[in-house]
Amino acid sequence: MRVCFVRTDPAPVELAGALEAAGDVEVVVAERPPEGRFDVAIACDWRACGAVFDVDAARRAALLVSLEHRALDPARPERLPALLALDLPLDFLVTSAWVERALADARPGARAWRVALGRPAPAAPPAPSEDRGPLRVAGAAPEVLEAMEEPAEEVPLPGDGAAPAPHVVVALPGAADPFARPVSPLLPVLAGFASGATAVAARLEGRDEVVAPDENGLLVEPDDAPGTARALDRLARDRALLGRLRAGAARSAEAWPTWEAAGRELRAVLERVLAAEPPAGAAPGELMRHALAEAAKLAAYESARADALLARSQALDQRETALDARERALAAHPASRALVVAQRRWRHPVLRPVRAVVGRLRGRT
Amino acid sequence: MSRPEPGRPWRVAFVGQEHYFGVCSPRRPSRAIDPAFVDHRGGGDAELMLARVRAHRPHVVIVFRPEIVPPGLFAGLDALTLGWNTEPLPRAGLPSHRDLDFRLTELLQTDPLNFDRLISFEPVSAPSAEPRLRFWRSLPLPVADEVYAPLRPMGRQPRVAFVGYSTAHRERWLIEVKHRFDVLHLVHGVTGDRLLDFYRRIDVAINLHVHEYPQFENRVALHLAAGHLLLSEPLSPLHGLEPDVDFLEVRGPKQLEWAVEGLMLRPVADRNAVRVRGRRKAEHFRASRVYPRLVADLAADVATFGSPRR
Repeated sequence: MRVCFVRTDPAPVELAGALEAAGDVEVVVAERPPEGRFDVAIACDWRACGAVFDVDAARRAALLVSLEHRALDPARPERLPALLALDLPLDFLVTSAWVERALADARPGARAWRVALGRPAPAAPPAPSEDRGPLRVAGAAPEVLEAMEEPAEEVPLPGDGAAPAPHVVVALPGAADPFARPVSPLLPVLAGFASGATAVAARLEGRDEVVAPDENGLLVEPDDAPGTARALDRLARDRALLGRLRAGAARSAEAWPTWEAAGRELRAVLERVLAAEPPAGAAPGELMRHALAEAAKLAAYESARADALLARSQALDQRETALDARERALAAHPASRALVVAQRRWRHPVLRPVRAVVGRLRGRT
Repeated sequence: MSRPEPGRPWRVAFVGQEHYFGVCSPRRPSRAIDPAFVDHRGGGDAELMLARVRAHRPHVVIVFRPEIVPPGLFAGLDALTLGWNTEPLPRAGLPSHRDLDFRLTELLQTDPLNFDRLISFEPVSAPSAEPRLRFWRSLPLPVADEVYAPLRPMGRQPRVAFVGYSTAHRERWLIEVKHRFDVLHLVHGVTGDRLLDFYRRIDVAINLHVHEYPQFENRVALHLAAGHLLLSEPLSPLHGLEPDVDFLEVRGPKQLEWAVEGLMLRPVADRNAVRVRGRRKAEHFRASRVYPRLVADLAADVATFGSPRR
């Protein structure tokens, strides 16, 4: 089987490596449509969804680790093509139940296939002697760390040999991402588990598919920085709880498929994709309806922005008018006229020596 | 501090104005929670309230608006006590509003020694009550299981409603919509089963803030749970909801008018997907899920960090 992954984001495509390792598959990863004939062309992000149609391939698919349009600010125009990519005649390879459900909600007609994310490479967990020191926290926003009361140390997220290893990984929804990078919300949690850490995660975007509260981590509310800080404080204070959750996390990591298994599963899925009829994609009328609905939203955002600008400009005009009126009133005041006369007299050449003395007294040279 | 025997439910007494907070608490006993609601408002007979709370022999007492409990009243109560701030407060970096200042003044009357923990319905404004009151965490108000309804097919002419009292801000948003379309405005006085009955008769709900300041109203979760398509002013915080995914965000009166017009004049298939997702997301607020978790966390946190009451 010949498979190509087309990406516009430079992030590595681990599943491509895993697929190649599964054997009997030739894999090409490219930023542009590669030459030659392929069995399956897979888009790794929404921007690449158009490019896979330039590949000479029997089937075309898209890898969905998250719904990228949802990571974009709703007012961003990129949302429109990111959303319309879901209408294309593609087989969607989804990496969590959450993505599968979200895709089904957004596009009931889209065909989805579940594939597994592989378990990140295990890193050396903190040594038992380090378990008594400050809590090592990775992935927490500054306001969460500031709100903590127990001693804590910020460490990098596990992966690429980052050290030291964390005791706990924090996984909360990020801010709107202007580039909507195709990153699975599950990855930080899985990487943490594989490196011997537990997780404090938001009950959103499928994180609760991986984090079982009080078994391998703690779940918190998505917007609650103080509550997240308190959950971390609890882990810092109650080391027995921390140890129990880390042990649970290690068991979860063990049970998660390896990259080799994920590669074999992907190969099997691609064989089924090849055996199935090509997906139809959205009908033209449906596609136009989706485009119009999204365009209407963008127009509304634009209109609200224009209204806000207009209101601000009107407020500035009013302020300027008020300032003008005050200036005119001041100019008309007798004291103001006397001041003007005094200033003129002060500038008379006869008074130059006096001005020089005053200037020196003021510290001028 | 008493705890339930293994396998038995936590007895939880909920205290507050039932008129408002009845829909935020479980009504029927479950395997995890055995609830009792004690109706009480600020200035009411506190001793009577305490007697009714004690009669339930609660392991946990949850008070909506902790300022309604007179200072020292819970001193001798052998139960975990949780005060839940349900009102918006001034936010750092934003101009305040006299309504917010008033609510803060009221909240600051809370006796912190009445409660093992205080929580707020949103995290953004909670710091304005510090250092007198320290909030343990933030959690949106839950929704009683009885409010949850299966999704009904939306009619060709969806029935649109706004539930909430009138303010200048709300009327500025609603005036055109009410003139042009058949939009029902339920101002006051419908609660409990009558409210649920009303919920069953509408398809689309509008959520507007009381004044210009942003917030997250309890009615957002109520409408989503009831299976309504929600049109709302921008919410802050979002509590996990996604604009235009779980509800339709409207950023001005004109946009609200267009949204209602779109619902009345065009097919509603796309909007229905938003309704489906909103109803699903509402499960995060379900009382029978939230309270067991909250009570267990409360007990664990007090066991770990102690309490100013003890």
